[in-house]
Amino acid sequence: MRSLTGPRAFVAPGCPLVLLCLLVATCPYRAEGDPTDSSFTSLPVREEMMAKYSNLSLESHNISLTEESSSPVEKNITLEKPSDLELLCQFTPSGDLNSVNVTWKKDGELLENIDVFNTTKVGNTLYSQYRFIIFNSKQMGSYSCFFDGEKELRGTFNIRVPGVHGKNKPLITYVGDSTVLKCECHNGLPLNWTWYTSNGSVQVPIDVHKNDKYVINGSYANETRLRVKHLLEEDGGSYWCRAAFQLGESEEHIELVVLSFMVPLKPFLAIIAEVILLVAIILLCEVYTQKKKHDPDDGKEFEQIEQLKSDDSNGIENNAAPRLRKNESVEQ
Amino acid sequence: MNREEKAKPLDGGWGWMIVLHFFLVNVFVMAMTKTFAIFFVVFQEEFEGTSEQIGWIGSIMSALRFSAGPLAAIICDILGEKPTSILGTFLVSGGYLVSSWATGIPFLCVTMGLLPGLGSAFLYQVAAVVITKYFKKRLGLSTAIARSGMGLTFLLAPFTKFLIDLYDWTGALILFGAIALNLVPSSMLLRPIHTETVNNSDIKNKGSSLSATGSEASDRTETYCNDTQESSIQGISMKKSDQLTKNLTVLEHQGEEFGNGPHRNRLLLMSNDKSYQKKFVSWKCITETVSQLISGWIADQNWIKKYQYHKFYLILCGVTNLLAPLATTFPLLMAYTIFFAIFAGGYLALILPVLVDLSKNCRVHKFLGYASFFAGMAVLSGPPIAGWIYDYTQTYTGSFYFSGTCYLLSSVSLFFVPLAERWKSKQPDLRRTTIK
Repeated sequence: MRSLTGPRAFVAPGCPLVLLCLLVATCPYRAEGDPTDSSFTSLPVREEMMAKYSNLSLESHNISLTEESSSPVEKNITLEKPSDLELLCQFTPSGDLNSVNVTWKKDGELLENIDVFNTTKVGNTLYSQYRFIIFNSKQMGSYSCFFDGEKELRGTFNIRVPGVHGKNKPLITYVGDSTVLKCECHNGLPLNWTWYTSNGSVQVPIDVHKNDKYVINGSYANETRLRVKHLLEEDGGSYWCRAAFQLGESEEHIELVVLSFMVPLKPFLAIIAEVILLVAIILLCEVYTQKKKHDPDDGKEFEQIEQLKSDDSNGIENNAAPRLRKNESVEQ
Repeated sequence: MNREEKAKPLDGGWGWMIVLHFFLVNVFVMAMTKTFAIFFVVFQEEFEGTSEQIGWIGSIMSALRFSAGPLAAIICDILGEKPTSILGTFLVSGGYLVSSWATGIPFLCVTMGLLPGLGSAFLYQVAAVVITKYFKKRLGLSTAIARSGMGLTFLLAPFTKFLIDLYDWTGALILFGAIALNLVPSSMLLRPIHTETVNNSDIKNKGSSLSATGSEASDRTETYCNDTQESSIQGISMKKSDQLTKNLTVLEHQGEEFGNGPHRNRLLLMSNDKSYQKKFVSWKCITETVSQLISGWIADQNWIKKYQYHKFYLILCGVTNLLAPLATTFPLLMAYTIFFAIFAGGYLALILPVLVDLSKNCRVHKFLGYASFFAGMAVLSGPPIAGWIYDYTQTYTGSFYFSGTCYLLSSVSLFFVPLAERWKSKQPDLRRTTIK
């Protein structure tokens, strides 16, 4: 409403000629470029917009800058639906307020329609407000407010669609298995999801109805699952899931690796071979030491037999003595 | 041939091979428990079960590792030591191999809980018993060296993650099964040995009354453990009094496990920072390993009886745990960790030597089985009790008090050992008088 006060003051007396002059005068603005396009079209079209998107939510975001903040201050805003956006920058300079100029830029390009911005001074603080309606993907980007006084200070609002998350690590599967690739969106509800696979460097959308191989489903609106059956080695590679919102799209990349059974089988067989080798070595050692025991054993047994023979021959003489002793103990 | 098999405990020589085998068994058994936490996350993603359901797999594995001790003792009597150990290895590695084809959580409960649990019980029991046969004077040190294998397992977590990243969990399980098969050659190192039990344990002959029958006693206790025809009335009475001292140690072991079980994870939970957690765990492992070695060596010097050391360490563990709620800052938590690791390492190294001291060599098998069984029940019930205490009081102090009390209670039974010894030494006097 504020932005209409200027032109309306001319229109109010009801001069159609002045209206024509106005339209001609505003033509150059329209021709100039995209960044101002939205802000200009929001001028007469604003009421239409308000009517069209009847439940536009008002999003208000605030950045306050001080002279001590050396690094640029940034704020991330995620929007999925068209909204009535209010971006407010406030700055408290130490010196004179009047020497400070405020400019707004979108993605580095200057936004020229000053009437859209509302700059007010309250006490020692300078407030600059940029209010507009976001309704298409061209309006997404980084909006920055610049205060150039003694030092140039900047505050940036990064307006993005909600991000999509998949798996950071590659998904490892084997030939013949089936696997599920999952993507989810934490901050919003996408309108729909699409999956793409890579053919060289080109993204090819996945057709679910072509054969039984791919099935797309998701239990909730903010997640999607791509089920791939009967995996082959060619199915490995990059997959993309794309979430579409009213204000744009975001996508995520997932890597699928399909291994054949031989890949883990090789280390497995290597370890089994090592175990069998160790067992064989130990068995051989045991057989060897047992052989060594048997050979001197044979020698020992021979000696023992010899000794027994000699004992026997001696024992006949000694037999008398033990018998005597035994008789004595029995008597007792 | 009989004369060659009966040898004195070696305290060295081939015994170090047994230490190597026990070391490897400790590494694998601990590795299974620790790497399970990594597989937990993977299974949760794959099978989408609740934490409770998947936690059952780990609980079954840990509990069976202890509780299957009596079963291991029975199988060892039937098959012999080497075959039991090899059977245990096949159970562990077979369990892991079959788990790679898992289709659901109940499947995994059997193949990754039951089978490896049984297998590791067999392995552990056999290795512990054989090491007691091979070592007498250096039992503490050798056990401590073997148990230091548990400290090495902190290397296994990154290795497991690496395997899972390369081959996915199915490939990782297959490779684990293959690595576990390495225990087969190491089990083949368990050469049978029959040792004379010299009556040099704590049950010393107090008076000269027993010295006359000393030679008969040593004949009788020469261990062919299943040689029941030689056990006279005296043998049976000795068995009974053995049982008494043994039961005390068994209950004490259970008390320890009650305390130890829930306590391990709590330390990690109390510190919220991940880097702190890693520091705590690594310091705890190192300190515990070093402390086990020192405690084992000290105990072997036989300056005082081993169970006194054990009592001392248990009491200190209990006191440390009771004071633990006071540790709120990082330096205090670190101090608690180090002190607890020192005392815990001390008593852990001595469990086996004290068990051997308080029982005859022959019965170590059975008593180790009983002790393991009770420890298994404690391991199964400990974490839920700690969790219930936390849910009830919403702080961890309650669990620390519980753990400290358990440790103190377990040391109480050791105070009764002199009483039991006196009672036991009185028994043969009565018997002898009746015989006369």
